[in-house]
Amino acid sequence: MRECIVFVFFFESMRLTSLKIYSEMSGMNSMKTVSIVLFASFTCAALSTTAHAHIHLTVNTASGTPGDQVQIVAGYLAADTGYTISGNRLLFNGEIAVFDVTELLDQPGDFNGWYSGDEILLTSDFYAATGNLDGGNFMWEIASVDPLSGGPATFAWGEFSDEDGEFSASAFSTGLTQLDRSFDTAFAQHNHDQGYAFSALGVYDVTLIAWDSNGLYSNSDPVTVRFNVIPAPGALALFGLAGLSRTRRRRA
Amino acid sequence: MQRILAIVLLLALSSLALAHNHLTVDTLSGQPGDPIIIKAGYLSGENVYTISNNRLFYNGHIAVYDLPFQLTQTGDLHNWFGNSALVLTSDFFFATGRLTGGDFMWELASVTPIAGSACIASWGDFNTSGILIPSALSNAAARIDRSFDTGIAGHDHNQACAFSTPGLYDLTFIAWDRNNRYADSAPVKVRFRVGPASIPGDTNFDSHVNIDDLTNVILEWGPCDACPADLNADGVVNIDDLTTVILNWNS
Repeated sequence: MRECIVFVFFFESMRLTSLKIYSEMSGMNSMKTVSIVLFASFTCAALSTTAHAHIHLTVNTASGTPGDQVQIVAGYLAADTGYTISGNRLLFNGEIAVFDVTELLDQPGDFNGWYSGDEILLTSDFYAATGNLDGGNFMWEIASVDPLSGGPATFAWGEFSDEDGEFSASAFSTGLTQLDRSFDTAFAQHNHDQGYAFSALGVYDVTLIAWDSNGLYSNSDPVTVRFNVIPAPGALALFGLAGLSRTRRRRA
Repeated sequence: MQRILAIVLLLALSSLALAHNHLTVDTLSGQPGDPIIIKAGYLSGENVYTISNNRLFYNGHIAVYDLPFQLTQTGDLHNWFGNSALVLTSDFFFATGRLTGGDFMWELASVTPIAGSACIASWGDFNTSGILIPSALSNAAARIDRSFDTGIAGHDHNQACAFSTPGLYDLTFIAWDRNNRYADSAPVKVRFRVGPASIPGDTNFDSHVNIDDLTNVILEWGPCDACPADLNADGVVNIDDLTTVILNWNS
């Protein structure tokens, strides 16, 4: 069954790619645009290492001396081995880590129709007991969102409500100030309710900068994390089947 | 009016106990033979949790975790009461070097009923299908089978506890090192209120409000922290608790 769904999706993707070539001459409608994005997402993800595990990023400094630079650290927890940061990029087993974002938000308000995920947690707890973070209040700025496929998207970081599960954000990539673009992990924090959401489908490189709102430590180097925003597999299969049925109707 | 007040107070108590918090391990200096220390309140936002006299407290009162909901899953824990309000970890002090060489387990050393009948406690992880799989059972013969493994620098978000029967229980934890580098921790008791709290005045979790509950109120009259008859959780069994029992008589 799974192979069948994959085949249907692949077949439909190839068909829509052909349509894309045609539509460049005739003008592209939104349905085709979405389809091309899906195809590009599929291929981009295949070229990278999809990261399924739930992982953590945290902050550290060299010694906790004022002026020390904040460092973003990955792979420090027992279950997170395999994740490293190199060349300002989050890697999984030495390759670009890609986090699938598949959950379509169905909730009232601004985030209805966005896609959400919670496979990355931003924390500030792990090195707190060493004294390296003393005096700091650690924020995670969404410094940029670069589409590799798909159109521009707004990216937000926030929390899922304990009560109704609804997502709300405290940091937006479109925020005017650094504070508006930043998610607060304070000091020695490990919040399990957090998550993130994208406004559009596509593959995106999100660049994070950790900084200290108390001004004791200097900004971290940027770290880029790749996200593949794509409907859940069930939705993809339905999408592919719908496309096939449309084709058959046109031919009939 | 009293009835409404009692319900509101019980709901307030429930929300308090549903807060998510962590326990972790530490040692004095990381030297072989150091005893493990169970710690609470070390994370931002959790400093209201403290451990004193081998007991977990919340805001100076005995911390109580409510488990009102039954697990609907099939298998061993079918219809047990569970939640994820308490997370056992071994990560926070790892970077200090004080946990170097250890592999940390949390033994469910005993389950003492304060009210209700004998009960089995378990600790485990949800699998990818959302089924809670127990890895530690309080009635297991071997210590390893009574213990939940947080490993080295572990911070597992999928864990949860489950209890077999409704009641009010003190679960005693002992943290120990499977690598035998560090000595066992002192025991720490954590209180769990298991089962639906839908019947105000039911002090013994038998789903009835009757002479047994009235007796409990009388026997526990006066200052009494998180005891079954302290129905409004104000730290004292008094006329308010007695009124709750009377108003719900024969419920």
